[in-house]
Amino acid sequence: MTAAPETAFEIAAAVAAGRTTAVEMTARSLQRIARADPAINAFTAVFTETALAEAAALDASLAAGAAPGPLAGVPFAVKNLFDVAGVTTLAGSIIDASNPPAARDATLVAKLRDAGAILVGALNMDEYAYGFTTENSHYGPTRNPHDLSLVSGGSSGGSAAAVAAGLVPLTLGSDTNGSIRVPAAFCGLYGLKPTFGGLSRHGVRPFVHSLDHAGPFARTARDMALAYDVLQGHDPQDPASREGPAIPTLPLVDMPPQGLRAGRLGGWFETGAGDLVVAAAARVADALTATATELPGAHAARSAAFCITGSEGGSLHLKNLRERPGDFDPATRDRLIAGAMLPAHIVARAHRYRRRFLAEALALFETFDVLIAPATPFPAQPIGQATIRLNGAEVSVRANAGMYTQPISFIGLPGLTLPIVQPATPPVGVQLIAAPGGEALLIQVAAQLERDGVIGAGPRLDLASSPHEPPARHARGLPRRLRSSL
Amino acid sequence: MASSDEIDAFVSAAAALLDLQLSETSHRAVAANIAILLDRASDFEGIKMADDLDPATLLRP
Repeated sequence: MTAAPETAFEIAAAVAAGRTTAVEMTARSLQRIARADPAINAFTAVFTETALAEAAALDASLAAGAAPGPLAGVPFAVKNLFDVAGVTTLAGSIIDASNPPAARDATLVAKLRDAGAILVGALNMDEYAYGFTTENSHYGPTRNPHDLSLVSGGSSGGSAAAVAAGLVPLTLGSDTNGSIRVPAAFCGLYGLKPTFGGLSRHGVRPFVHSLDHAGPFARTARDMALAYDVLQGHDPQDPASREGPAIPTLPLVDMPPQGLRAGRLGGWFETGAGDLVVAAAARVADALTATATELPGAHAARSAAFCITGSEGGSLHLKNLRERPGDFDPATRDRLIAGAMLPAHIVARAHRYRRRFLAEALALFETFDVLIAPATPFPAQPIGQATIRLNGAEVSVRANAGMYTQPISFIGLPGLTLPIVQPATPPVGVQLIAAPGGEALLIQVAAQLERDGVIGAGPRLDLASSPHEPPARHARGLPRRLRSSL
Repeated sequence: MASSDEIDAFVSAAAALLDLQLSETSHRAVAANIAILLDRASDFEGIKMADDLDPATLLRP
């Protein structure tokens, strides 16, 4: 007896071979969402009717002899800042809930659909992507499937939790300062932040134009390669989109990387790191026989990213900060207002420092092919815990979970969170970082580490197999109104 | 480093310039966030940079 397909690769292969159908895979995903999501709160909308209709249409076209796409019948979901035709893009806010539905899919959503994947829903996030915990005051917190008392990370927390809980094998998120890599680490998954401009952001609600990235989550390196190959490619509709040929990644997954030169980042990237995190980075570094190195200026880079984020984010939302201040989460609103007030010379200087820091980082890649650093300084913390002791000071969890990811996204380097999931401890993640355009190498190295048992998302959680008591809904909770019925 | 009184005055002036209405609670929170931003800015403001170093507002690495 063959095991039921679980990964995106297995599902697409089984649908293509006629061993299962897109309808069967979509219905299974919808059933899992119905049973497990009341406890997790990853989804803000479930597209039951359209998903089943699209799956049925795909099955019919395959039966008529059409060639299956690389993601035929694979259920997926997207952070609710991606445009989905006919659906209002929330971006985690109630302000945007009054916007008209999107006229067309975001480029990355369209690419996945064109490849045969079936969109089953939209996912929770921090309001306007400004946070690292997905404790959304409007739609409730997204809970970590590994331990429902913990945050899922953010801002793409719904995207991480939905994959970690086995509700869908693939999701999309966005990453401005760490919003893919942090929740991937907290939920024990692969999360890819591509090179800046590497994947299209067209149709993705902006947060910080100069720092925004979009990327996928997956449970295996092979699924990450499969998704990345579908998603990559120049998009003239995104002004930041990189030109040049796509580099197929899937063929590299079974090829061990040769002569790899790995560096383990110390300095800033060890400051305040907890024991679990340090051990995880050491585990990967040992497996890759990495040499210790440093990226001077990372602290300043993180600070510059912090200032650019506040300023651009504040500017973007200034109209609503004036006209609808009461409709923001107060913490988000006050950070955005402060950012909007930041003197221009600070922001200009931050952007100039960005150029300098990039040059310094690129010089490291003359010696190394990949760099290793923790993804976060600590694993997922309890929901509602506002602060954590770090370097002798009590600091905000929401603002500091990304202290190791921010310097990397600041200069647009590709970074892949490698999951380390072990019994009795919360998941932790390690960042693998490459030179611009090095996504294929990152996934190739991850695949080798996964084969060697160094990393991995662990067995699929069985949250979807048993019903859970839903947590108390937030008083302003809207998701149930926005859901279509199953 | 600006004093808390100076930051309060700055927040009041900036709110007026930007046409933002701040409650007392919000004013305090904004001032706290400004203090954090200024502290972060001090991490890179003193770093010497050549005048011909371009800003990377649209980065193409």
